[in-house]
Amino acid sequence: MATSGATADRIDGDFIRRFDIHQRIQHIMMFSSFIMLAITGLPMKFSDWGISQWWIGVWGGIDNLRMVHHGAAWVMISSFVYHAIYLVVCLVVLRRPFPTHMLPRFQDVKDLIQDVKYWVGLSDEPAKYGRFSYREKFDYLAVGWGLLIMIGGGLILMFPVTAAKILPGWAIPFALVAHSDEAVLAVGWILIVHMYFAHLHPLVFPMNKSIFTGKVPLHQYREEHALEYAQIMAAANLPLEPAEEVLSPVPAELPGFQEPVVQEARVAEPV
Amino acid sequence: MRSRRHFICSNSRAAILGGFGLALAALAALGLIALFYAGPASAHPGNTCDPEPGHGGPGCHVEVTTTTGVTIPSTTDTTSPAETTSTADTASATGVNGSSVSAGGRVPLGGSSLASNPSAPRTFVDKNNCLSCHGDSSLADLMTVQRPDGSSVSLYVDGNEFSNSVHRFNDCTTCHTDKPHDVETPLTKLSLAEKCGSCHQHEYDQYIKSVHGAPQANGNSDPATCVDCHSSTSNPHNIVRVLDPSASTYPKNIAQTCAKCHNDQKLMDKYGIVEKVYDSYMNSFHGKSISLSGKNPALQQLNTATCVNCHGSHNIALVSDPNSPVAGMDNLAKTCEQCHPGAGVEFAKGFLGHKEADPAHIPQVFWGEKFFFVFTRVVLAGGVALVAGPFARKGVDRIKRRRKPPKKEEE
Repeated sequence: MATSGATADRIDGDFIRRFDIHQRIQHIMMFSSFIMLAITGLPMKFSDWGISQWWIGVWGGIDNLRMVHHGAAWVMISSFVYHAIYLVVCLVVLRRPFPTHMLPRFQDVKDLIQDVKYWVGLSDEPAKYGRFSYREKFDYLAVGWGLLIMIGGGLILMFPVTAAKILPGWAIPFALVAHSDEAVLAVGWILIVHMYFAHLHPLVFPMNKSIFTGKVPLHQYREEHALEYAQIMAAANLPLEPAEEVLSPVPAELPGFQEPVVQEARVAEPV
Repeated sequence: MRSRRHFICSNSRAAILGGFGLALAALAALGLIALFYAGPASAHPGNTCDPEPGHGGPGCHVEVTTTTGVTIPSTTDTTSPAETTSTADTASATGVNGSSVSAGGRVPLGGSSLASNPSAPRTFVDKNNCLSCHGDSSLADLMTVQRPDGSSVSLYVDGNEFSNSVHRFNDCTTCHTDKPHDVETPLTKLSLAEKCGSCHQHEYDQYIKSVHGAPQANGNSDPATCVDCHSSTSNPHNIVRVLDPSASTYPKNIAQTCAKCHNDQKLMDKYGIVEKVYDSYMNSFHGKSISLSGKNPALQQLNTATCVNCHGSHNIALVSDPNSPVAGMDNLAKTCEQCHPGAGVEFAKGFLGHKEADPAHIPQVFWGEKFFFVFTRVVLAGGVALVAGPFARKGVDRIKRRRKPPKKEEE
């Protein structure tokens, strides 16, 4: 958890360290189980679609699909528990206030308003974010809410008899509604928001690798988290605009790497 | 925008894209392999291999049939020159005299032929050569008889189908009399059930007291009789064994069989059955488990409730009948417990009863559906706005930059 504060040791060459090893492992567990759960769960919800029936046939029937779905569910539950322990250790044992950065603040509303102004052209400056932007906070808290619904509902559906001993009977059909609708929401959100900001955004295309390497390039950090970037640079006694020219020998006007033009070799034709 | 260029140089970008491509190719290969294994599911266990002791069925490898008294080793070809051989098989040992309709030995089987090998010889008992006329499809139009209710019934018997039937080693006269042409048959659903009941006594006793059987005595022929469930075409001559994958009574086909009547809006309106039993079943856990089980019968896990597991079959009763296994929460809970040990009444209350949730019927689920319907759409709309906002701004900026000379923009 060496990445929790805005300290100088976060700087690692041309990068700023952002995610520690636990967060990276949690993300790998989360996205791998998410993909498996989505591709095994959605065909069960939309079971009358032709593509679902083909896909279920590929797996050899719905029983196999359910088995994989349940297996992936336990991976996701494990990552949830891992993260809960991580938070407790961070807050209680190490006494670092780091997780509280995720809590929404009034500043987030102001940032959102500033961004909306920027998007519609009322302002020329997008908002500057600290450690976590309002979008990242929403992403995180929405995953938390979603996991509660998905794990709670999923466990009821996995153990309906046990659930009916603790909960009223209507909890089972309710869990089915909640589980399947929340799943569509989660998949939709990932496909729209996460796909854009982590893959298609020009700053990171084709993929933001920082969740795997733990490190974000300096220039990217300055754009995405300007306020924390400034804090880190101040802590390290470095100028805010350190090395844009030093780091980037490519002229600013050049949109990207250009393929060298290869001249076609001309073979003299025999006359 | 200015600063992305040195972060991902073209080499690593190509490597990443290549990695994506490789992963996609690997996925595709996996899919193809899976398809290969899922595909050839044609080797279904069929009802040609159902030696049932009580019925004298010799099983699939004993295919000795006789045409006008000649025994043919039909493992080779029914149309080949007949050699008189004595094969020690059950059929000939018990003196059953079979007859193959020799002309059509290679006619592909129609309808419920999941289990059939089209080139297999057709095997059934027909001591009196009834099918020489009744099996002639060119005469089918001439052979009809009026039922008391005015509908007509065909006297044509499809030899292909009959040779697949579970009763193929029962001679025609077992069900029809020795002199069928002399007897005026009532040909009602009741008379058919009585005829089946002459052998299947236990099933008949249950049926005639059931909600399907009892009205038959009063002349109401709406409810199902034996063949309505046991044959997909309500034809007594193509009944196959209950657990044959091609049977209308096979777990995978039960819902469709019941739906022949219970998904018939007109018929259900007549009896005041408002529940959409078929649709609600097919959308339930049980229905999806059944309908989406593997295509290969050998690999199917059909250990899931169908209509008859809860409602009963031959002894099926009205849901309001206190003897019905689904009447009242106590009975229903006991029925659930057959598969879900320790389920209890509260578990049974979670069943929506083949109905949609509405403000009166399990309102929690109804309002839950409404909440999530709105919630998912609102949040997803927010997500779209979150992406569309910066995307639109960047696009507009880029267009402006192109139109204006760059110097002006710098100023």
